[in-house]
Amino acid sequence: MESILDIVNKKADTRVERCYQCGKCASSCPMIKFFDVPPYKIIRLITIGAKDSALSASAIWLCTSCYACMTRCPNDINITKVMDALKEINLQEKAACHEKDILIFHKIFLGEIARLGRINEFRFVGKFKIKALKLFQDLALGLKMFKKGKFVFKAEKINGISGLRKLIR
Amino acid sequence: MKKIGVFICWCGSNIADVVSVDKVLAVISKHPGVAHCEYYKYFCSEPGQRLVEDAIKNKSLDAIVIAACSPSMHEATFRKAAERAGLNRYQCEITNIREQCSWVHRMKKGEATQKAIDLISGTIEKLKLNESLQPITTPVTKRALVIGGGITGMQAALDIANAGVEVVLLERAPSVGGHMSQLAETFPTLDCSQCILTPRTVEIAQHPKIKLITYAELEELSGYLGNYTAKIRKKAAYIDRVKCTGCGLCIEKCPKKIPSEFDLGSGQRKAVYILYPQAVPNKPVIDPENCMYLLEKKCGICQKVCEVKAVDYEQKDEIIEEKVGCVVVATGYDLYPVKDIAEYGNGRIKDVIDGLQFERLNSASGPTSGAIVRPSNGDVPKDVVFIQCTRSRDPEKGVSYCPGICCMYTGKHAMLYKRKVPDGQAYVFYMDIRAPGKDYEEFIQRGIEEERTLYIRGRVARLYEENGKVIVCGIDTLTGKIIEIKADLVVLATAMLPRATAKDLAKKLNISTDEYGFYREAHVKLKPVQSNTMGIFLAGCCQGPKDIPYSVSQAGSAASKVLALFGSDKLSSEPIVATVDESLCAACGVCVANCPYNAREIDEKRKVAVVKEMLCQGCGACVAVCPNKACQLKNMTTEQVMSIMKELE
Repeated sequence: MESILDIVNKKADTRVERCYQCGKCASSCPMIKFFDVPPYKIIRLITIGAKDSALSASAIWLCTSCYACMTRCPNDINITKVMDALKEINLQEKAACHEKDILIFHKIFLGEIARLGRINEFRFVGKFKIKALKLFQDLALGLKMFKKGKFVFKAEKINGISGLRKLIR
Repeated sequence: MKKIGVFICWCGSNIADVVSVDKVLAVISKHPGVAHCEYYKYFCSEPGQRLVEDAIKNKSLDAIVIAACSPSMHEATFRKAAERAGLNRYQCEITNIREQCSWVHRMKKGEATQKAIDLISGTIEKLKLNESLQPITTPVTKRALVIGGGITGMQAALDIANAGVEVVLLERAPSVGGHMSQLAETFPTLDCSQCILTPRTVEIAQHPKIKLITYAELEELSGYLGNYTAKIRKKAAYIDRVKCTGCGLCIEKCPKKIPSEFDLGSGQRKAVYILYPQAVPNKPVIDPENCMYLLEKKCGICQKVCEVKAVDYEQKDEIIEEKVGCVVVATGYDLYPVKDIAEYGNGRIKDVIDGLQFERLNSASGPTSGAIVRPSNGDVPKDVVFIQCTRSRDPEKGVSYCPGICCMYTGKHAMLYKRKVPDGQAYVFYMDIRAPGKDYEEFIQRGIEEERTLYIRGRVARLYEENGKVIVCGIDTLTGKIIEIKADLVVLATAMLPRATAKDLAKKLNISTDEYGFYREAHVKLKPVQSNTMGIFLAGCCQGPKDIPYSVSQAGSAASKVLALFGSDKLSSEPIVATVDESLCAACGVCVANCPYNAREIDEKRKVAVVKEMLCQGCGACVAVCPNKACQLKNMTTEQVMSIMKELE
């Protein structure tokens, strides 16, 4: 069987084993305060073949794909793509995910884009609240946005939506 | 016709297991011209060599073929045996039936046997046409040129001169000393760099066998091993350095102040200057780019005040020639420029400096007289961050190698800082501590235990200024904790690089550089101070980053090679060189253009191409390109090559 190292290398088109644990990725990361496992340790987990630990890290879902780590990595490891690869493998293998809300957020976001070609705040937030069972969270903020006209009820499609759908497919 | 002997070696089982030596023996014995043929388990052994010698004597053989391993293994062994038995050494040829036959055709034994027969037959046919040759000898100029007057160059020059051999020591700067003269203290003993350096510089200046030429650069090197001519450009100092007494009055009166290169911008110098107070020679030069008289014909104060009339604004660059037998290159290193490191401020943050700048701050003869202060406002820094591996071990943005000295000098910096500022805190961001020298690891531990230097394992992502502090964003990878330090001073241990001018000099010397631009040694383990050009030796950081002890020992090593070369009055080299049939040569010059060793030239008077035999390596490039077939290689003539080819058909 292909090792997790090989799979991630292929998916992310990079060479994870080059890492020498300098930690520049972590010290560059704007989300590091929220990460349960810092990026260099995720890289290490992949290198030693600790697949389950790598896939179940919350960090892979919390990564905002800002690319700061990749830009500064002295070994040219595409850490952002590694995070994406781990998310993909996590879904394929139905592995443990401790950040269900983020997964729901991503799925609804992509679903909306495929349907409309853009995000309608009202539809998007509503769908997310229902799916994530967080109906009353941020209610005050929602009312404020409504008053300012940030929520538009009529959802409009973009022109050429069929082309976009083809792209997504 | 020549009586030829053939000796087929089994090489234990290395050859005999694959090649049928019985069959080879049977076939080769019948080859025309073969007067003797035998095999043996190990011809390289002493009894084996005796068999060869006895056969030559008893059967009065004229030439021999040894079918065995690669000639790089035992050609010398068997040629010596042939000489002992009275043959010319070039009447002995090796056929390689091990590396080029039995080892590579292990699975095809029958074909391997046929190949062995063909190869041996070819060698026999070539050998029939071999001439007896004598080594080429040439007299040696027993005088060495050392390029670079840093600690390495000075050590090499002293070692050679102390053996009674004349040395020309060439230095680009106005005075000798190199990077070591910029250092404050040296690891691991913390002795003052100047204090251990000045006895050397003084000895250099006073040594009767050393001709010191400073403020000068190599313009051109011509000739070959034992007989080089160096053209040297002596830059105009605008001061007659013979008349000058070094009183320093001109420096005192010069009105123009500029940042000092020696202090790396932290101090100032005048337009007429000496590098540092203890400089050797202690005589100033005028910097034409900043002197107001040389630029605009204004001022002229230095000339007015000079009592011995040594100032000469009309002085020009001068080219001199020196004859030498060999060259030691010791040109040192540069540091990776801080201005090229974007995430650490591109050199725009005043309180972010490199290791050499910190040395100048720390040096008793430096711009602050040894007080460690913040370059931005002159305050004593209370939190100092040292960042190791800056652009080294960084294949993406810097260099991938480890210079191997930054761990030590950073440990030293932190220690010296703590001694001067006992209530301050030193932080060192490191990736690995590499301290494999004598007393090195103990030195690092002393810093951690006694001076309480805080080592943090991780790389710093970026530096920025905020409220007069330098914010250091790093991590301790051992705990995973993000570390943010509000530092007063940040010292970067930047990568050591080859000199910016290293490639230019390599071209002049006809030596090669490695992928980074350091000079390449002839063999990384066995010939570490030899370059790939005979008679040009390498020492110190021009060959790769190293510390002072290692540089000094390499200087000694290069000096011993120079002295070994000068041990005999004549140098001899292989006579397998190109020859020219002058009746066919049209002096077209194709051979000159194609020779990789500068061994060919056109004799303009006689209009023929000639071979400089000492330089010729017998590669045969000229033979291949000569349109008139006027070039031939001794003992590998076209006729000989064709006779080999015929046997391989």
